[in-house]
Amino acid sequence: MRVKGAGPLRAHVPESELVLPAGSTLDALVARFSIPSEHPVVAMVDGKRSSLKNQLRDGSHVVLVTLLPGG
Amino acid sequence: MHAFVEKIAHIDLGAGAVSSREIPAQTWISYIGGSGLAARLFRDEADFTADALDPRALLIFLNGPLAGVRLSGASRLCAAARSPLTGAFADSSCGGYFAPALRHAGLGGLVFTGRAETPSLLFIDNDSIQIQDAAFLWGKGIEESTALIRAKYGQRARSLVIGPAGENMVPFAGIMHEAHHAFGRCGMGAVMGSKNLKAIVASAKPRDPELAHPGRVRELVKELTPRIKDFVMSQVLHEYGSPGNLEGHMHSGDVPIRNWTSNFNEEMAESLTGSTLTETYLTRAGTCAYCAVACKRIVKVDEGPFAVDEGPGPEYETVAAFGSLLGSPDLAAVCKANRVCNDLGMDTITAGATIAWAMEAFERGDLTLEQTGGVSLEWANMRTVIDTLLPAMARREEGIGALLAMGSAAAARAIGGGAIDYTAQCKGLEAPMHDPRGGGHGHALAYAMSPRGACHVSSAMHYMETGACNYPEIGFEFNLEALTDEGKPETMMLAAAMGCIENSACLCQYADRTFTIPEIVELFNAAAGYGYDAAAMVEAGYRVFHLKRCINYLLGFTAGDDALTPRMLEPARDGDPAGIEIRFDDMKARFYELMDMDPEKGVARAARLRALGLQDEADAIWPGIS
Repeated sequence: MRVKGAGPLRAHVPESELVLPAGSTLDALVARFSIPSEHPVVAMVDGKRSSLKNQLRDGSHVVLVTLLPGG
Repeated sequence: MHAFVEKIAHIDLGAGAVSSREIPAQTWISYIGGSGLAARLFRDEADFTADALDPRALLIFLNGPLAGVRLSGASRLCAAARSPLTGAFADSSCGGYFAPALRHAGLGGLVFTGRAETPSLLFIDNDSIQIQDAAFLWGKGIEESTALIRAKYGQRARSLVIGPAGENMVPFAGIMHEAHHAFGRCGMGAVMGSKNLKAIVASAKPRDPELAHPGRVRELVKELTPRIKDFVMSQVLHEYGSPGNLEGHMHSGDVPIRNWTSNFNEEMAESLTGSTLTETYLTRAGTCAYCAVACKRIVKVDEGPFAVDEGPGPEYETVAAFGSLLGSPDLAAVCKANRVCNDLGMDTITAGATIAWAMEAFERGDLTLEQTGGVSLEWANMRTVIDTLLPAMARREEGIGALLAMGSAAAARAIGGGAIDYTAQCKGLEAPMHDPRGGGHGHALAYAMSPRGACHVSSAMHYMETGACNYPEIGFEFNLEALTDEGKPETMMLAAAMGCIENSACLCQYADRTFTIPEIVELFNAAAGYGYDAAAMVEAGYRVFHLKRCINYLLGFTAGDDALTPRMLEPARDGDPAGIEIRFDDMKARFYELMDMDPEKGVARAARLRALGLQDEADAIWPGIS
């Protein structure tokens, strides 16, 4: 699977290819990175919002997004 | 009863007369200050038969009760008038340094009426207020005008200035402060232009304002400042500016693309986001008075067709309005368009949104080459936007300039057909760059209920829906899902009140995000002696909201105007929110019910108005009903 961080999470989640154990959840993926706990993290899996409790699928493209408002 | 606030100066530009008066303490307390007090003054003193650009029209500048306090986010100033763009009562807010300068001069606000015979400026020199000749500035851009003012009045002089767009009464002309900070929205610059008022200059020796409990204010500032600075949102804003999370917003479908026809574009997400701006064109951060965040951008584009000298850079709204909304991923072009728009003195949101609408009209064939005078309006044609359209709009040049200078709603009505359907506006005010279809369905309700038209800062919905704040003391502890209507009308009630409190206090919505309700109450009480508890403060917020709605009703607006265009409500075509429908009518009906508002008139019922102390409005709108 591929993962990257968007916006302010770019600095914490460099774009990379990862191999995770079968059955891993998005929560487990997020935990691999040092994202400050204040960031409300949302995972976009193949372009769609996904619960962090969901399991990852082989070949997924995951973008980690913070929902910090502003602008 | 005493409130620690300043007097208001009245300036009759037609008569050349200046006077001042105290506003009763209870009026400040009931309406807080800023936009709330401006609404009260407008209702009491404006001639409702006068259109926005009539010499009789009022133009009001008001501080909040915290002006001059050395607290992050407390240096905003409110401008209010009937908007020439919408015809509704409107307020606009600007950060920077003018609000404390006004308070240092012993003033809580300025109320202008009349029209000067010749170009004029108002000069506030400590305790003296004079109307002076401004011929030396007329016809000049914002940057040159600001520099000339500084050269004539000294480095301490702070100025509010209009550019050519304001002089030509473009209905979305803004007022610029120090060539960087803007009263962007709703055409306050056109109202200044209609009065032949080119600038307002304040030069006052800095002094601590008289406060109710200065020691407690110092303690509060000491407690709150580190928290503001350490807040993750503040750090993102400082590092990357207000476009800091544009890429994240884009992935969630919040950023409108090509006139709201798309909700996702990965190239634009990466090329326009704040970290790209920081890596490419940022030279340093800028700030407002006393701010620990420093979110403003100072940029320089060294080369290429969109090269700009070091100077003010774009905010999030401008990046999206002159980037994704026009189908352009070019950040240098955004920097240039921002600088040009600022120098002409035009709101970047309405300018960008109107051009985006025109590009779609051109693509559809609703706007022909004959109508544009041979100007080709393809998507992302940034040379044409910057070199041709923006100057032509500011000068209201016959043809495409004059058409687009009307704003999108009036321009769409002018060309007819179904062109109004693909505008993105409410009450004639173009929507900001947060698409409710992806950003959160509550935004749709917030845009419709905002008294000034489509706006995400009139209420606190933008922050409450995205989970950036919770107010358990007043019953808001929701953890909302963005793409449903669940809990949104209930949230909008409190969001309306909180937005009115923030805008009346003239607080920055970035800096005050970490404040709790008891802290905001204590700030009012320690600084101004208002004697609030949480309930009284929130009641004041509701009072301001309902008063603004009453003013608009008396100006001819009804619930039918609380509507979004078909473009804003059609299901998104792509991205995360694709295909999801916003249940707008249900949210609107429920909100009216919760707020005890009449679903035809769009204002609160008589009993609710009377309970809020709005007796005159109840009598005017609901005669004979208690």
